Amino acid sequence: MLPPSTRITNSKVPRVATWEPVLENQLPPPSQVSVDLVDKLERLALVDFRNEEGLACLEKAIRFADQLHVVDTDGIDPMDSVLEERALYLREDAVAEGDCAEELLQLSKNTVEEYFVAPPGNIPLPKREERC
Amino acid sequence: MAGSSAGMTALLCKMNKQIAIFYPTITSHQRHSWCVIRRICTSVSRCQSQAQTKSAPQELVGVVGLEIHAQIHSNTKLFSGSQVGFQAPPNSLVSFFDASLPGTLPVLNRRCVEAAVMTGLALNCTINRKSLFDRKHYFYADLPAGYQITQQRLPIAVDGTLTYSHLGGRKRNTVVTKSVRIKQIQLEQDSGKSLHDDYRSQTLIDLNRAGVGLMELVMEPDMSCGEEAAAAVREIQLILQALGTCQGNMAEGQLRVDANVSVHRPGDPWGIRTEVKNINSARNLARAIDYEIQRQMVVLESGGTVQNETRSFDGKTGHTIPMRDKEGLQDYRFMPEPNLPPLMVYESCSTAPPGVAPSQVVVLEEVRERLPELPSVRRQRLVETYGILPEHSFTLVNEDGLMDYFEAVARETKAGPRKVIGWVMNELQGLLHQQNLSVSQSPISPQALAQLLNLQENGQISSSVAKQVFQELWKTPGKTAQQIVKEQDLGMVNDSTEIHRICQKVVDSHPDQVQAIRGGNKKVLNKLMGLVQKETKGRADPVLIRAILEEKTS
Repeated sequence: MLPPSTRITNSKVPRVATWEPVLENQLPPPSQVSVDLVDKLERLALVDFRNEEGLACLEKAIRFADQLHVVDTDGIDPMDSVLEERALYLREDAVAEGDCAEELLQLSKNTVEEYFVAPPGNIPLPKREERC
Repeated sequence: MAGSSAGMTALLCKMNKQIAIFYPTITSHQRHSWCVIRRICTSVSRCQSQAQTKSAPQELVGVVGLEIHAQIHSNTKLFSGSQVGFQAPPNSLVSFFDASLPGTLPVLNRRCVEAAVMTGLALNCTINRKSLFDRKHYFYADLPAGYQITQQRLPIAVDGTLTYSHLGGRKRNTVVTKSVRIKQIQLEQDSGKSLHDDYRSQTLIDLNRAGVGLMELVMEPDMSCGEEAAAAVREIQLILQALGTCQGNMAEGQLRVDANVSVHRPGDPWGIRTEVKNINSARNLARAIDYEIQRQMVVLESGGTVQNETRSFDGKTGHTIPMRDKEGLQDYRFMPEPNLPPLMVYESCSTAPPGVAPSQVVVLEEVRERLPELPSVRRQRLVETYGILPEHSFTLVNEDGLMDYFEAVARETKAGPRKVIGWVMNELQGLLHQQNLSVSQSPISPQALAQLLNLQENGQISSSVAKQVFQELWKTPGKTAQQIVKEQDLGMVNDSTEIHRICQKVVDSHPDQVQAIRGGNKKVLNKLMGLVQKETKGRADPVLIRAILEEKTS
């Protein structure tokens, strides 16, 4: 037991857990993830998750997010971030950075005469059939 | 113009029928290529004739909307303190944020906000007191972060109008004013530059341009042809240059225009549109749009469908070619930018939050006060101050430096502004265009022209001699008008006895013409005048000569 002087007074953390589990019947019906959608997501995010584990993970994640539907949000504007009431800082238009080409180029394995090197254009992802 | 195109249409229709008679095996597709010729002939007149003639009920018309990206003229980039520069050593103007190294955050540049607000006010937009930043995700090597910070949900300015004019009418000397609605103006980041090295199958990336502030002006598709679009872009260039928010040089990439082109029949819903990119001048914009409208019309008329795609304009051939890189519809996965709270602008100092430093607030009242004279106001002022025609005022403001030239001459000469306009528009512009020079490269300075006009006003030289001297001054810019007049003895012949003598000589040696004049044919007098002018080498006052000749032949 901690000595009284080190105990934090006025803590916002409750002494006892107040977590209420959300029951299955409170959630909306589970959404299906179609093969087309998986293909589109792979194409956009360039992440391979076509296997069983990947799909199961995706469905669990969607189910977890479905818990948000329990909250009543009628007539309330959505928030973007918890800091959106802060004032946006405006910087003066004076040069303060840059001129570090050498440092930046050292980060890349492949450079040519102070340019970064990338593959030509966008190599299109092969079609679904070819990838499986 | 409408009449002649109808005539041409009738002629080609006749040709079509004859082809069908004489070459019955030609397929309808091949005959349609003849239809293309008809269309190309009439497309240029279409813009103008649409207003005049009632077009046949099922004519296809073009629908053009523009997306303009204007690079903000500021010292530093939109979200980082690295310098904005052109043609600097590769990757030397790049900060850690621009290279999207982990742990860096965007910090908004105040100058860019003011530039966007000023542009919005100049284009009669409603400035959103609160605007939001979003991320637009796509993968490309010149976008190191994998997303671009833009304003998709709530841009800084919406609902404006751009009023532009172009010279139309049959002789292209009537000012035709149109307007196009501005859907929104938003702040966004520029991407880096990629140099394609097809030989070694790689792309070289220079991030100097990555992160530079851009104002994207989205226009509603209110235009219908290339000429209108080019005029609108020229007006935008003039406005942005007057405001100082963008230098508007299309060749250097400070102003980039993409056109969305489709065709449809008036009254029908809009057709499928294509996006045309890679346009680097206003003239190429007009060419690209006109070509694309033509191409889509041909596709539709031969029964095909227009694909919703992105096409690139090839300046050499004047054609648009599909761009290989775009695969289907892009999903940009827009999400709010979590590192930037909403951007607030305030109407006046009183509505700004108290206790905040002035450098931290953008106040609309102050920006409005700082708005300089816009081109449309300038044109009006020229018409009112100098009493010149609107067409002339339009050309003066449109050509770089011409207005300053005109005002300089008008200040220093006692000739009236209308006379000066005549000289500037005809003589000066004529030679500049012929030799493809800009006003700043003119060998005749405004002072030299003013001196020449003064000589004419003083009666020291005649009007035809003045024109001769102008040509001479162009070739030998070192000399003054006075010198040339003296050297070539071009001073006005004022001796009336001399003029009488010459007139009498001409009258005596052309009895037939004199007879014709006495018989009622007054036009022959001009021929006699020409002869007298030749004798005097143009140095006599034409009005005086005419009076004397008329007297002698009455």
